[in-house]
This record gives sequence, structure tokens and C-alpha cells, in this order.
Amino acid sequence: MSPVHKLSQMGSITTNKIDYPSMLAGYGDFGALQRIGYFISTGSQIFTNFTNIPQTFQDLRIVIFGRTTNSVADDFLALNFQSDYNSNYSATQLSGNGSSASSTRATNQTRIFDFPLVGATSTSGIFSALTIDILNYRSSSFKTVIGRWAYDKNGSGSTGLCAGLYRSTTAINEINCNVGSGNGNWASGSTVALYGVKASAA
Amino acid sequence: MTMTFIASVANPGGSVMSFTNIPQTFSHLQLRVFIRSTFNGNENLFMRFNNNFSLQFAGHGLIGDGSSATSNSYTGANFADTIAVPNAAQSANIFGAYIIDILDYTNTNKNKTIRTIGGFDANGSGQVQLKSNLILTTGAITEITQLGGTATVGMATGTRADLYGIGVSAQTGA
Repeated sequence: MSPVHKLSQMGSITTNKIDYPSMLAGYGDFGALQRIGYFISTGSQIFTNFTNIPQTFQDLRIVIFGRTTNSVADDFLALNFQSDYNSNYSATQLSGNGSSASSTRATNQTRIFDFPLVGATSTSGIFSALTIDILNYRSSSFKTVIGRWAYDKNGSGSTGLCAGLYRSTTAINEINCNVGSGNGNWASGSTVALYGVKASAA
Repeated sequence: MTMTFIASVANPGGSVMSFTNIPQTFSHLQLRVFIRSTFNGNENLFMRFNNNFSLQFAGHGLIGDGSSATSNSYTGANFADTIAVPNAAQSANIFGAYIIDILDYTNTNKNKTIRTIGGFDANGSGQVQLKSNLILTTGAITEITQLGGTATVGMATGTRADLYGIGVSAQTGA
């Protein structure tokens, strides 16, 4: 297969030309949304951290298609930053479960735990879909996280939104994605991807 | 689908942000807004378009405020009224985050629909919301004339908005 060349904004070959073996092999490095890291669980696997996150983007996006090995029907993501497990997190959640809508708030938490994941006692082959945006992750303000999730288990399920807060003025260069309850791991087939969103034409 | 950066406004000195001369070459637009108002009272993120202050808007919202889930709506406004923004009454360093999609913005046969997901948490207050806004115009969106808090008082340092174009494949439509 002929290589794919990354072009300059003017459509010409860049001076420091990048050759990709195919469009897919460039990890989506085309456009403002670029993949930084990726994890896929091939068994019952621990995945905890995206480290050394480049400080060259404007926003970050985490995309999860996940399920845990904990022996519960409904589990959750435990989201931290900078390996900070102190009570610097809070969140406001809005959710619907097929019969009613509700909203809850958690303050002074050691993690943001408001993103549901399907647990091991649920029907096999069903995963949660989560998208979490971290805007202005390099800023000196506190970090606001906006996320949404959805899963349906053919008779039960949940969909919702979450606004999370990490009370730190430090730029984020590490994201910790643990599964929530018990000592379980990510179930086989779970994926966790981290993207950067550029705010420049470069 | 491809996402292409168009323009940014960072640390706006005035009471609103704006994007002019929006390229008409994408399928959709996405605004990513990080904002805190300097107004000492409740207000929402709002938008006006095409330098036309007579355009009419309507909207529906699904809101979570930490204790209950509610829904609201409005009609007959001359601006797109979206989601609450943190203001001077909140603790320092609290900003709201909003992802705003403006679909099929160049189409001249359809009214325009805006979808906003966003909100903020202030460790004891805040809200998160899904909002739809209708712009009663079939004109193409060429300009986001005003973007800011409804009180139009001002925006805190650190406020910014980034505009992106979303393209789809000519082959697959994806």
C-alpha cells in the first residue's frame, strides 16, 4: 500500500513530511481531534493511567466502551487526575433509567465516580459508552469535566450527563481511569481512548 | 468525520465573544466554550447569529441541579438561551464547560437546530444540562455575533471559546 502523506494547511507536502502506512495507522492524526493514547483489555486487565499527556492541545476527550469484572450489575468509572486521591473532586449528575429522571450531587470526593459502567453480573457482551471532555486542561483554573454516558441492557439501562470538578489549578498531564467498586478490572473488549483537541491550524 | 479548527477567542475584553466570516465549507459547527461570568447573579450562556437581532429562537432543556431533574422550554426570544454559567457568586476558579453543535449550518432550506451539552459543578452547587435551541431562519449561519452570559456584563479572565468545523466523508457520509 502506498503511504499516506500528512499535508500542510496549503495542501503541499510539509517540510518534515510524515508518512503513515495507512490512514488508520496514523491514529487519527488528521484534523483537530488527534488520538493520544489507547487501551484495549484483552482479558481481565488493570488499566490506570494516561501519563505524560502532551501539553499542546486545547482540550482532552476520553472515549470509553467499557465493562468491569466486579461482581455487580452496575459499576462505575473512578476518574482521577495527577494521581491525586484527595477530596478535591465533586460532580453534578443528571440521569434517566427508563422509568424516571433524577439528579444527584457529590461533594468533596476522592474521585469522580459518576460515570456508570456495566458490571460482571449483567448479561455478557453489553458495554457502557462514555465520552468525557476536559476543557482547557492546561489552564490555571479549576478543571471542569463534561461527560455523557449510555448503556442499555434490554430491560434496564441508564443514560445521563455529568458536570465534574477537579479543584486543582495544575495543568493536567496524567489521567487515572480505574474501575469503581471492588478489586475488579476492565473486562475483555473494553477500550479506553484519549484524544487531544487542537485549537490551532498547525 | 473530520474536525477542523476554525478560530478561537480567548480572554475577551468585552461582554460578548464573536466569530465572523465562518467558512461555509463544513457540514456542521462545534463550539467548545470555557466560561465564567463576572456578573454577580444567575445567568445563562446565550448566542445571537448573523448580526441579526430580530431572529427568533425557541428551546427545550433537560436539567439536573443536584437534587432533581426538570425540563423547561421557551419560545419567542431574540437570542438562543442555553445553560447556566458560573458567575461571580461562585468560588474563584470555577468555570463552566459547554459543547455546542450547530447542525447543517449552511443549509438554506431548513431552520437551524443547536444542541448544547454543558454545565458546571461548584462543589455544592451547579447544574448540568442538555439543551436544544431552534433558530427560526433558513439562512446559512455565517456569524456568531454574540456569545456570552445573558447579563452581558463581562467574562472572567480564562474564558475562551474555540470554533471547529465538522466535515463528513463525501464517499460514506460518515
